[in-house]
Amino acid sequence: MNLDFNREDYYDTCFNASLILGYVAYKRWDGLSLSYPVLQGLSKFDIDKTMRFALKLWNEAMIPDPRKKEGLICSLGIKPDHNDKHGHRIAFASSIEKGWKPVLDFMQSLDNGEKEAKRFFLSKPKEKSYGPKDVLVPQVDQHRLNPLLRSRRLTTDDVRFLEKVGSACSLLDAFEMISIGRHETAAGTRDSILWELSRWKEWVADTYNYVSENSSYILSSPSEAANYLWQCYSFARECALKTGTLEEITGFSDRKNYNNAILKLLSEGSPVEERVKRTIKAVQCSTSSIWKDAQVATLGFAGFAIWCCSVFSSGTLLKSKLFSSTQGAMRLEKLDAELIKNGYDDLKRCMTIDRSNIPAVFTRDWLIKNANGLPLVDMSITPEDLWAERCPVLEFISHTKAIHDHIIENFVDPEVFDISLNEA
Amino acid sequence: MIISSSQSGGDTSSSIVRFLNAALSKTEPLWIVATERKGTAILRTYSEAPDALFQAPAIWDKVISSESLRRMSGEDLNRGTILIVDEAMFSGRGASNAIKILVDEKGVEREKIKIAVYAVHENASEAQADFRWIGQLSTSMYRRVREQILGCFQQKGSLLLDTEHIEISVGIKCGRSEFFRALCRSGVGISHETTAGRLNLTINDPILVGEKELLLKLPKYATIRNAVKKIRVVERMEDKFAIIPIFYPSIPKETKPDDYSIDSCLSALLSESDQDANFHVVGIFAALQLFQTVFMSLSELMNQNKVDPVIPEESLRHMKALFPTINLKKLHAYVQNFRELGRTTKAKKLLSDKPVHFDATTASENASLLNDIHLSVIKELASAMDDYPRKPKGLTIGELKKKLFAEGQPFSRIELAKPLLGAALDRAIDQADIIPDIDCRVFDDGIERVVRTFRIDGEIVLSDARRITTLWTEIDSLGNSNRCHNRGE
Repeated sequence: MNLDFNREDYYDTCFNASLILGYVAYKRWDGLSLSYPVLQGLSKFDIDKTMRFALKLWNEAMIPDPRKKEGLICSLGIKPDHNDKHGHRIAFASSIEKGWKPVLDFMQSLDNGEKEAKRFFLSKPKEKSYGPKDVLVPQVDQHRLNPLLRSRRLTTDDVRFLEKVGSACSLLDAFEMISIGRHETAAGTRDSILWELSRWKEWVADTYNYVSENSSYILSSPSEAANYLWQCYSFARECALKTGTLEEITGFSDRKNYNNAILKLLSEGSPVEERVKRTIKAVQCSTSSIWKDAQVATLGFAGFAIWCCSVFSSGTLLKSKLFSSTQGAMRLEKLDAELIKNGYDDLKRCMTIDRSNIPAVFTRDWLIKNANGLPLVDMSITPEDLWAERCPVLEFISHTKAIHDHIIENFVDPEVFDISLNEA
Repeated sequence: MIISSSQSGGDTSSSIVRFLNAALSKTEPLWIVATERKGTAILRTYSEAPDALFQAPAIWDKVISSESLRRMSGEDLNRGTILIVDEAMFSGRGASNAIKILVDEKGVEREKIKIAVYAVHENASEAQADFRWIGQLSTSMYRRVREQILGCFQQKGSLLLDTEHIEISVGIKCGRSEFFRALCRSGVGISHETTAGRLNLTINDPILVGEKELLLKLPKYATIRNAVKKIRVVERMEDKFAIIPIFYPSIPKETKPDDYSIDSCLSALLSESDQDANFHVVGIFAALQLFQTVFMSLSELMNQNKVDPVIPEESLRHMKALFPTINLKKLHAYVQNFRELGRTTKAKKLLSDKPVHFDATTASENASLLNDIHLSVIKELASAMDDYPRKPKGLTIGELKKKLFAEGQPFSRIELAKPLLGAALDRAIDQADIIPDIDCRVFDDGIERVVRTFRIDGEIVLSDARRITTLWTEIDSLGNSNRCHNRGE
């Protein structure tokens, strides 16, 4: 790990920023763990988005003008919109590590070999069906900020502000925290959705390349192929969550979680301190001004279509006998047969929609009402055909390629043609 | 004799070591009388340094606390040179009192008594220091040097907090918050910081296993009502803490050893006539029961090898300063027994599932309230000295609670204020603003009992406290709610 610490004071900048944001994560954890003693720790997503949220509020609240003169920390030197696997992460600039290093990764790399008292996080293993997945326990208590207080880089007021932000964060569950951490404006959400669309498209291309180059190998060793299928599904799912179009089916979406978070933080009876509330209002747009904005709303259909497509293709394959004991299949075990069949039905409906008829605001009701005529692509092979082994696996994969190509050409490419893919 | 006259620069800790090395090697004392509490703290600072000529734990065989001089026989005391050690001398009253006891009561020859004081005020007249490191200090310089010495004690780990208590050392291999949380299952915990930046945790009124059985072993009419009962956790180094349970039941003014049914390692220390000694013995006995609570709270972390409580016999040797005849082997075995009891007891179900832990460290919201309570305690104790000029023995915790929390008082409606009082007292002791003492009080039931009190520590603090109190009164009378928190400014 090397962030080019030859630059003067750059290590201190990164370290101090990590302490400041780490403290907010600690306060979140502190509050949550008291309310929910069974909680073992926080996921990396949760912590990453908690810190992104804290960064937004810090940047808003800490006006550079008087602070710089007094030698107080103002800018944390962090880019809030570094695009990583699933979109915006906070990152430090690095002239060496491909341009950017996510803040959380920096903190964890410093933790390696460090004593417990000085770590940013302690790691606790958590068993999932597809293998162990660590959760993190934030460790930066207020005591660790004392060097910054003593050197007058921070004031007592700053620390209290951070304490209040952290306490506010502890009111939110993981989904609400992730949503409000990663969304704040319509333009930002739009960029994030476009990022998922473009990444999905890449993974689809990689998947079919892999299959065509390893077709016989897959039948005996399907694990690698399962991973590709899982990745396609995960990007499609994230995209659909961000557009809000999954809400009607699963009751779950970023929009809903964001709205819940806003209500918990800003409603009349909320225990959040006034200054923090004002800062949140200044930084976070309302739910409707994000998801009803045309920039976001017009992407609803694309998000839904790729999700249906991945549920059908990845879901059907990973539920089949060949892939049943792979890690990819275990990750998707919550996607049951009925959801897959419903996904197939919705996909058929999507395939009847012409590009020129894509609605400004997409809902599933709209799709059911407007899905007339025959699908524009062959949809004759069903999930049951694969599961009953009426259709061989490779033939199924080949069949789904045409569906993917149609969706990419008609619903994805028109949106993502100007996205730069060089950031990750 | 001035061993060295360095008033500025240099590490205070290494100066203390050089000073005491010289004083001890010149006098070769048979006994070292440490004036409570800072004399003991300075000896501890000294004896734990690698370049000290007289190291811990062996040095504790020579040390007598000024509070336990009367428990020694004149014959024993007269057998060699006695060196009285203190960190600073303002008027010299502390040393002078010790000399009075030694010469007038114990018949020690005055020539055999030497005094070593690190810093001496220009007006010190009641006793003459034979050895000093810095002398002729003006009041402002005396204050500054005193602050440096206190800073040194705090850096070493709040040494003023533990002179008469048993402590265990705990190395942690888990996060600090996980360690604190485990302990806070036994009572409301307040974390706070010393002025040297060390983290401390005070757990108020922790649960006690076998409360009824405890009282049965004490004399009739002993009570734990309004008794000081807490667990102190003090950061000594990164990842290393000392845990010090503190518990002082109040005992009737007149008791005999036969009135007690405590373990023989402690009952042997009871006195027919010295009720202060009996009070301390009861304090040790009661505190030991709290060790069971400590080990109960830590049992899960111990099972996971995340904490490693260590109780070497040497860690108990400082108890000899207060109880020169104490059987350390038996005491050690007694303490070890609680470790196993705590791990295995079924009483673990008494522990709370939800630890209650409040952060009152420097910049936290609770820090101002802690500060306010700390200053209010000093104000009340300073007033108490004015109220009782002939008997400056301080206030009990019950009296302090009444003054601070009764209806109409500033903290009466603040729920957090009560647990913060324990932390405020610890902070005040750690900063040498106040000192614990012993006195008698007549309770509501008409019985006079020996109780723990707290009083202002020394002339400098009293003078500062009076100045703050005056300023406060002026501000209050102007109807201004802003308070000056700068002591001595």
